[in-house]
Amino acid sequence: MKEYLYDVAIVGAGPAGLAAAVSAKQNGAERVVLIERDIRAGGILQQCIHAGFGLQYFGEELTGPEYAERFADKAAEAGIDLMTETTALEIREKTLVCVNTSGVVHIHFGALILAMGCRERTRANLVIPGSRPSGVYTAGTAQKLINIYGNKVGKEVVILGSGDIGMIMARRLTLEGAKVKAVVELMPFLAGLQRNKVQCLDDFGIPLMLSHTVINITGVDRVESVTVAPVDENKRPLLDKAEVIPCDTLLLSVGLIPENELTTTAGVSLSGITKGASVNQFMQTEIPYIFACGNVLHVNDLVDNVSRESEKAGKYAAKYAKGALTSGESIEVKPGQGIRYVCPQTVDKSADADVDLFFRTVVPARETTLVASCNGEVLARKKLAATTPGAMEKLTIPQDKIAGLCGEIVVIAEHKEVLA
Amino acid sequence: MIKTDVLIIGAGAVGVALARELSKYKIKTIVCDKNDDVGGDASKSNSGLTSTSATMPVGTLECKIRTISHSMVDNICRDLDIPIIHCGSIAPVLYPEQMENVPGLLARAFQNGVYDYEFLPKEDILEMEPTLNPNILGGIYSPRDSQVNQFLVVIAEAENAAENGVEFLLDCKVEDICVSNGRVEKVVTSKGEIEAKWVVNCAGLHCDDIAKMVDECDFTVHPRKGEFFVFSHNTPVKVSHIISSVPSAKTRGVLVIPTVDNNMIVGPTADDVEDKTDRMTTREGLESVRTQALAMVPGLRFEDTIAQFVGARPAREPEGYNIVVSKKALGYVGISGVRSTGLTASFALAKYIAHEMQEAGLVLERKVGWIRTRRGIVRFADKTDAERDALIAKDPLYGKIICRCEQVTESEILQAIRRPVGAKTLDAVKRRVRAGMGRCQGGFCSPLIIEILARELGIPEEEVRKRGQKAFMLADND
Amino acid sequence: MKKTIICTVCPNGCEVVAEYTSKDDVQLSGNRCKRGVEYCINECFDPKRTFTSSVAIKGASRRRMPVRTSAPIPKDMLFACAEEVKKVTLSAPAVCGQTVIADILGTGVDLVACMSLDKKED
Repeated sequence: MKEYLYDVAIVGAGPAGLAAAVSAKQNGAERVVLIERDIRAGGILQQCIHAGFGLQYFGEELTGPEYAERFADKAAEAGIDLMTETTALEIREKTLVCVNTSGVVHIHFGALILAMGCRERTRANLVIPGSRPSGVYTAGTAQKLINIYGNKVGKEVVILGSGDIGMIMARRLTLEGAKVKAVVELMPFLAGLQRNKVQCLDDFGIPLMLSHTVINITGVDRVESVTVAPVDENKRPLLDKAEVIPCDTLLLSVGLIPENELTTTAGVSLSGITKGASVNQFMQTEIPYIFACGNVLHVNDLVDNVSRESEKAGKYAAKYAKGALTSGESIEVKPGQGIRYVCPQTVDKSADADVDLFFRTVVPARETTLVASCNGEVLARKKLAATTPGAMEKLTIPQDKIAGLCGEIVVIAEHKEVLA
Repeated sequence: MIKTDVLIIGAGAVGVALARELSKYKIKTIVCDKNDDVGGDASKSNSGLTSTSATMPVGTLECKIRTISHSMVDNICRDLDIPIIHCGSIAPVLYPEQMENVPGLLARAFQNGVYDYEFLPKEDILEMEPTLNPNILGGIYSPRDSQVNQFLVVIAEAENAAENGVEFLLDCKVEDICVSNGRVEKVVTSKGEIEAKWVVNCAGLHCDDIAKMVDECDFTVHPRKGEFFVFSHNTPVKVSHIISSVPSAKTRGVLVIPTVDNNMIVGPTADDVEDKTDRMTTREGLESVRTQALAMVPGLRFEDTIAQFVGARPAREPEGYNIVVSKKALGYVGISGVRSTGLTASFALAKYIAHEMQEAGLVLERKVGWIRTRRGIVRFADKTDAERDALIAKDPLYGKIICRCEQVTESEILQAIRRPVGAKTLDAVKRRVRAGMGRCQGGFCSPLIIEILARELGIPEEEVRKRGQKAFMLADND
Repeated sequence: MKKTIICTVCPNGCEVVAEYTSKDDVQLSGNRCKRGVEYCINECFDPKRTFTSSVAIKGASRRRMPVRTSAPIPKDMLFACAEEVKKVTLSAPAVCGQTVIADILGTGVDLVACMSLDKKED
């Protein structure tokens, strides 16, 4: 067994892990290590070769690999250790058990940051009936095969789910010569960003079928067709209106699940809604020496948000490792009317800064007022011309209001006009 | 032309068990199969149950063979390093009408020699299996029912048979059997002609098609489709016994089965269909499995299922195990009617078929040095830190995790490909070492496994298949 | 001339109707704010997109190098660009930002690498 000692250990060198590592170092952690399964840092951004990253963080539009490289360079300059081709297996108290081709590696840490990202929901998660041919891919797997391996996944494609990755893959496949026959979305509204609908679907005349779903897959060997049907208001398919679309490939872009199996080995419990750990504004889980950030915590829309959130995790993990993170009484943050979840789930009253609450709304709407309040006192309020469940929203509670709070903080959304 | 003493058609549980049995003797045996891997159709798509003969039709050949075979299972698993769990089964009685069936079931079990098949009161059953519906009226406990890794049963037997000299011809479809002067002469296959003194039809679902080639088909076989769910390891409610429906006259009903790999399997349906290639799950079928399973184990969380699949049991009409040693075409032996009981029954059935062949003139002279045992691929996931270090010291690729969900290393995948009767497709790798069988269903590891398979098999990545000959993973470049 | 544009500048996603005779005479309606005006005018006369793809690279730990145009190019040239990049194979090492195809298809815009890939040690 190889044994190492670090102030802060971070699992995953994607955008979350890289930002957390750099921030931990800047905030006084001397020995910082990133554990990464892949052959290099960057995580999923390496395969997200489209542009659209960094507008908020860097003020310019970058591709995924460019965004990742900026952070990877920062981490390298800061002297952060990067252990690639190393898989974290288990958290045993304050030891992270990993493995690579040199053997089992024990990383003893002062604080641990979980930044493993997420995985994609599969066909089986949706229970799509039919045969089990080849040619059914999650959008991200197809993206990896095309962008990292230079392979072709199929020629005639149907995409289920109007998430951003699905739409971006529709464009990518079209430019690579495939025919994308339809993007099918169960909900009556788009799951991803409007910009992607325009630039990835409309630009290429790819039909978007809202309030539809895939109800059958045929093909003994390779996919031969999928059956698409409209759904009623309860999402039940209207079988008599079903339509068979011949194709050789079905891509699924139907949601992401935080990859928390490692987290549970430490005994950290997971939220039923986000499928991630619950944290306070320090990005600290219920186990004080374990922090979490990025998509392993809750699935984000923009990597820029991930970077900012992860910088907090890095900062407070560094403080914790030095014994300088004081914690006080904790109060809960609850999603109220029109809100699906709020992260962080608790606020520690010993706040040393303003507290950002990130959350998602439930329905697309116009003229939305977002309010965070506690015992009738409004802590933060914001009016927006439009909101959509696809976008992460934020309210900031001023630091000076936090020490005096009692009870719980509730976030609500009031809409003037609900769409769809 | 290839020449052999015995040609076994079908590399499912029965064909491969027979091959292993015949490998003890000084004869040449070839097994051919239309599929790219051993495991057949029904033999790989099932729940891995090995159970007693409690519910078998009394006095039948099936009952007799299965009873003997069930007593052989543990030794086979030990010799061939096949994972098995001895979890026992419970059939909870949910309704008063089911209670009426209980005395008859107990009487039949007794007649079949299964003396430890007992009815227990509700309180005792719930203490043994607290996940059950608290409103049950009691339950039938059958302590000797177990679960094996059904893929590894056939793979392990095949590896062992191959090591003992049996040859496997896969991707090899039988097109005709030529008979001359009342004897089988040769078999025409997609891979050429094979001259065989004995031809044993172990083709399961397709045994009627083969039997027609020698005019020995006085029966029909159709698929009885069974739809199943597979659950993730980390679902909160898991059963510790096999939970089965109280058998009715018609069907055994839905089961909730703990597995050696800690994934529950829930199913099956039993739908008779025409098309032998039909492996479609259906909305109605899956819903009926869900409803029946939840009636027994209300806490099951179906949102945690990681796969659904269909198994096709060969349903013979008329029913019953049937072994024909042909008089019209000497050398032809036909096995039919082996349905879902085949996995359990295959070990004794192989002995029985060999005996019948011997009676009909096959000379079985024991060879010296037959290798009885086979070791499985050592699993990284099961090992301690020190054991893992030792594995990696010997083979650094034991430190390279390819499938992160199931913690499968590159070394294990390479062994799966390189062993005798090795894997040639993604599904074959999955059945041997579980890579791609976890919660992400191959989302992360399949690009890596495509790369490894292409490299090992010396083919372009576009030619790597999920299974079979045409289920290509990628589109070709044109 | 009349054209309907979905504005992508903010999450509002306004369906904007542009009526115009020339670049200097554009009437927009349906927009809830002014932020998307420039975008909508460009969509009428000169729609542009950033093109991204990947090209083959030899001698690196990866088989593909992600690439992009250094600025947006006319939308109707995306397919032509996709064909153009198939002709290129890079050799490691390569650095992020290096030109892969200068002045691609006469657009005045360069195709550049988006990742730094070292030469693979064997």
